[in-house]
Amino acid sequence: MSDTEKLATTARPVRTPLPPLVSASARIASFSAGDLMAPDGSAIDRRLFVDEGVYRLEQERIFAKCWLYLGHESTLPEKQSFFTTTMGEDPVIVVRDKTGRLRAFLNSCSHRGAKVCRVDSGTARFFKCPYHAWTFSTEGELIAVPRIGPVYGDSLDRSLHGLREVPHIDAFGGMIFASWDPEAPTLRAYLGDMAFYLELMNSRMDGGTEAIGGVHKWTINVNWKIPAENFAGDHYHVPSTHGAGIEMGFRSQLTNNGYCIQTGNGHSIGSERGGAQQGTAVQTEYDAFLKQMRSELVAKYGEAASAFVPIGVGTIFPNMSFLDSARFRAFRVWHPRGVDRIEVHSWCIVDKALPAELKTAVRRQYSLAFGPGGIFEQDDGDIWQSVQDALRGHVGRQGRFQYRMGLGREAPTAERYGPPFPGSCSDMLMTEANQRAFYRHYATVMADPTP
Amino acid sequence: MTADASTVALWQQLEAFYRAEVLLLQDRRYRDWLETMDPAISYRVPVTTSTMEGLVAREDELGYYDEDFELLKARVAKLESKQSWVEQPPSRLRYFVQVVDARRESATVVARSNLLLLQYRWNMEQQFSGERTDVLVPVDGGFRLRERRVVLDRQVLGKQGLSVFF
Repeated sequence: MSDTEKLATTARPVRTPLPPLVSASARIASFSAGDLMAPDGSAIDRRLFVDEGVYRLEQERIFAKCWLYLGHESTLPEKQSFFTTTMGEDPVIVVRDKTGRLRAFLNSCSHRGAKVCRVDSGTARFFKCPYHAWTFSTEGELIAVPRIGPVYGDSLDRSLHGLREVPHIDAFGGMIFASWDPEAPTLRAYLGDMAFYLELMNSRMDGGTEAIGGVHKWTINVNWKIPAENFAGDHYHVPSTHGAGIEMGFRSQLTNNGYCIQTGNGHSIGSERGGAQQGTAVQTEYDAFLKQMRSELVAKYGEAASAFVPIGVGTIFPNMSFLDSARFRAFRVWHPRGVDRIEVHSWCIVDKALPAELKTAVRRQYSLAFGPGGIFEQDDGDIWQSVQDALRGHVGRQGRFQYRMGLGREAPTAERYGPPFPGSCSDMLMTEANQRAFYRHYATVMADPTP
Repeated sequence: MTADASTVALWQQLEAFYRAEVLLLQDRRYRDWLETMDPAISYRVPVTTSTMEGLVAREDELGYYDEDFELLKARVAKLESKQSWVEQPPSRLRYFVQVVDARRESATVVARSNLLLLQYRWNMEQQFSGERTDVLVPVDGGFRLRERRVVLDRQVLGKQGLSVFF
């Protein structure tokens, strides 16, 4: 039995798992929560995107606590394969150790802080710091200190000075996540009901998924929450922001037929019927492949299930987003680089069993639409940057953004699509329900514990 | 390289081709730019990965651009839209192309050039540098572009978005 089937057969109480309302008196950095947002998440203060104190607190409460996406297991094919990335602003090395186990370490020498690895990826037997040549194994142990006898005598216990290790690292369906929080729940518990939808997205073909080689990396001068909440469920922006992509036929005009589902813990997905990027221009065979996958899902769960191939666009709180469209599938992370800047890392994800020519075609469609020069991506980034610009001034940071669309229209997904489908769902595509859920969860993570 | 008459003629033809292309690109006359291409064009700007051997670009990996003629036409159609916000208002572009090597290879010419591109967009400015390797097919005293591979000199694009061709 696949994990999806196991999940589907588990009895599931019908409920609307909306995150709790925000308590107005709770403290978030130097603010009371009521100053920063409406209790139901339908209005968000502009200062949340520019305040340095809020940003510093996010590094502690969110990026040093939550499970963060690091990359795809397929990019670490053998023992001692590694890649570097960041968790929030903290640089990390992600490596398969000598036994093949996934490990992640702060990329900073335990002696005096220099990066022990200065490249994107490769294989390594050890990591040697260029500053004073302290050398660490792929298990993070300090294995060599130059002139240790003459300069330290017996005063340096090497076993106490390994690389700082990220305490929790785990993978779900090929997706590697890690958390700095020693008390973190399991990854499976953190993903919660989102795991069901990730399973639908990642297990369409036997053998699972893989990342096409190479990572798109680029920066955008915008606060990290703006793109994270956009991917959580901003379908309303498509007709305007992406008018050019509609005009030239890469995608059809957006209808209001579809779902926005939030599954708790700030995680969300949404999709128009049939998936994003349905259009007439430059088509590939991927469409036929998805039709086949859709009919298999319908055979398993009934006609309502046809809405879930492809699964859509979504955000795993805090900063991992995915886009499973009618033409390709992409994973990306919005790494914060200060309150007003992000570095985007983006991958094209394909089913391993897909024919090689189709993988190439899908890779090209992804770059055309959502690489850094993508005909959709380029307009998103341009507009997001202009949002941040407009918030910098004394007046620009006053007032609130509005998230009132579709207020009060959420109901259990199972009531609309049948029993296996968890979370709460709106009865139309163009709603801001997922953004409200994102910020309500954000507030619960950011608020000081009640005394 | 010996400066025999045929080599001099080849470099003159190449310089004429690249001069004309610079004007098309910096005036953003992309429909006319497509006319300079062979319909079998492969236009590729691979992502670069930082490794201990320096920046590497691999053919089976992602590209910033990874195009055939149809996909290039689709990009041009997008940029022509009045709703192509990234280029509303349009950028000022300045291309500097320096041919550094050229050789005849069977019925084609392979030319390597350095590219420097300065872009001033409504909300930012940025520059790109990289190395082009072009395969050109001789036609009627000029060339058509059959293949272009541009390796940029960095692995992270330092400013939002890419709305230019290389």
